[in-house]
Amino acid sequence: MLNMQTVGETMIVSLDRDLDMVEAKNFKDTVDTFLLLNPQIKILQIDLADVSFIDSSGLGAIIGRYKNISLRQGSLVITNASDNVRRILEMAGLKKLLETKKAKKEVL
Amino acid sequence: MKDNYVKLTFAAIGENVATSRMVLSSLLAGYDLSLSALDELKIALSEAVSNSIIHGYGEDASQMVTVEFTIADDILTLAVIDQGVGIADIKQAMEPTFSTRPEHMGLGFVFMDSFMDSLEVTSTLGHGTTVLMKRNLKSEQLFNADAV
Repeated sequence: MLNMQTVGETMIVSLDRDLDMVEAKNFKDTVDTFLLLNPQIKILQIDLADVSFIDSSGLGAIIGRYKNISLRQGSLVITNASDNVRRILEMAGLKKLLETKKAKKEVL
Repeated sequence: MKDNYVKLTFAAIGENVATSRMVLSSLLAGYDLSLSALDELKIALSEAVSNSIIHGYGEDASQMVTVEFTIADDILTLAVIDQGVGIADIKQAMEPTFSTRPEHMGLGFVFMDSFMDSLEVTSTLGHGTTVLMKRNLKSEQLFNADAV
């Protein structure tokens, strides 16, 4: 399941499934629709605390959303990635999108 | 560990990418693999199966993908077989960042190649593609990486 919350200009998307081709499509469709309806959103925060697996479909979906939010001069940040997921994101050159310090999972 | 062989045939739907990963995880349960090593094997399999479903079959759910899992003398062999459209230029398809679709990064083959000891792709246009990947489960880097 995909959980979304907005705080001002920030949209927080929390994922809790393996980010493969199925969840990547779900994530992409949901976020794109939401962004389209909410032009005030400038920061897309993707919380991966409950994601233990990501493959190139998941990486592609994140990059696609990064491109979309950049088009409106916004930014994307990935929070709470596990060591395993973080390693794959770094291999794919997405290190700059990772939160520098692993934040504690926010209590929402 | 005992040698083992499993042949899994499933409909070409995205949900079965996870099915194939689950079978792999349970076959490897007896090996003391590090989390990152297990993750690498799961990613390599996930990439090959996703390619068959997305590129081979264009997500046509009436088509079937077969994965053969073989463990012999601690060497894991994964064969991912489809009877889809095939790949016109395997060399080009395997280049990093080559992709036929905008949201895809072209990282699939890069991951398969990086995470496995060997990768062989055979394909015939109109007849399908077979991806054969091997990894030595006893090789040193698979052990204790998480324990350090």
